[in-house]
Amino acid sequence: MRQLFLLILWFSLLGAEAAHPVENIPVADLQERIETESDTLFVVNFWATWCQPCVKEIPEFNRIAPELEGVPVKVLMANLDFPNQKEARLLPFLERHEVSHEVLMLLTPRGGAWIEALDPAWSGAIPATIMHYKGKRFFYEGEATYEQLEEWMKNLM
Amino acid sequence: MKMMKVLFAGAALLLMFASTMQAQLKIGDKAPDFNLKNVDNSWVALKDYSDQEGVVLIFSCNHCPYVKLYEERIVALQKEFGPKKFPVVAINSNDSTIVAEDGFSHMVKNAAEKGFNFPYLLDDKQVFKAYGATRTPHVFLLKNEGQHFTVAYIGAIDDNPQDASDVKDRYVANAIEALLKGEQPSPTETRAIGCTIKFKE
Repeated sequence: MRQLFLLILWFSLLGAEAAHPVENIPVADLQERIETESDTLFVVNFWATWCQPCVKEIPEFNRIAPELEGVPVKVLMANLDFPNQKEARLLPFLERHEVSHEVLMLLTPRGGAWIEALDPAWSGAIPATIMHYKGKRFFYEGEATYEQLEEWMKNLM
Repeated sequence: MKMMKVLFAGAALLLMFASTMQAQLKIGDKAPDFNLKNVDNSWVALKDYSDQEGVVLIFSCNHCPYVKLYEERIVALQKEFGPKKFPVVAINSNDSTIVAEDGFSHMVKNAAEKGFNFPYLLDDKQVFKAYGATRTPHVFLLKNEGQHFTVAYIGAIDDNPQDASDVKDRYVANAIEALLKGEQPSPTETRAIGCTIKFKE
């Protein structure tokens, strides 16, 4: 009985570790990743565990499929918690909430110049979402529904 | 036909883009007046500050973790610059039917608990729209021009939300010091991560 329990514990720990590998990514690298020419439509959601509307809209992003009308779609959930709180805040959050797309921890330089560089329309409030497809882009500051996200994606295609 | 489709999509995109943007005041613009209820039940208007050099207007709230990180620093700003005739005025524009914690009674409690030494006003008139404020905390540093106030700096309080002891650039403090010397602040605008202002259209 005890062995079985340990076995289950072992597998659940394995599963938990595999489910949430969170890469740290400098904001410039993220920009390069989405803006480089490819066949993929990128959707980047900027969020944080402390941001109530961000947490509320995660299920809307979870609904985005890997393909829309034949176009490959890649969703990146760019997290803006403080990097030194990754273990204390972000990873435990991911144990308790379903976030089905790739989560990245964003490393941002001091000051806010990077916000404007990502999109001139972004004041810095989150949630915010950037979409990028073959040189065309879309930006939205605020909470979105799946229906809105799908419409914006289609408009870019 | 294809051309029409492209044009239509472009127009739709532009419209959506426009709808996400609120016209934010620009540096040098005249600051709109307001008259809002303070946590002590008095009324506070911008024109009440006509004998000051300027006003540090901060769009704020109770619940936002980024605001909480700055509350002590806002109290310190008032301590430092209130006597130099740049007093702090904070405005909470969040709709309490969306975030209960930002309701008036909670503002009164928060101001008492944190020892706010500045007016903390309830924005039930969507004053934030006239300024184009989008997040909390969002600072508009106003300069007294005699007959009215103009906007001299817009943005963040400093360059390190998480750690007050590791701030390198005190944007608001530096901007006030510049104005006190009769100079232009530099930078005049900064951006920072923050919470959205919660409102119903």
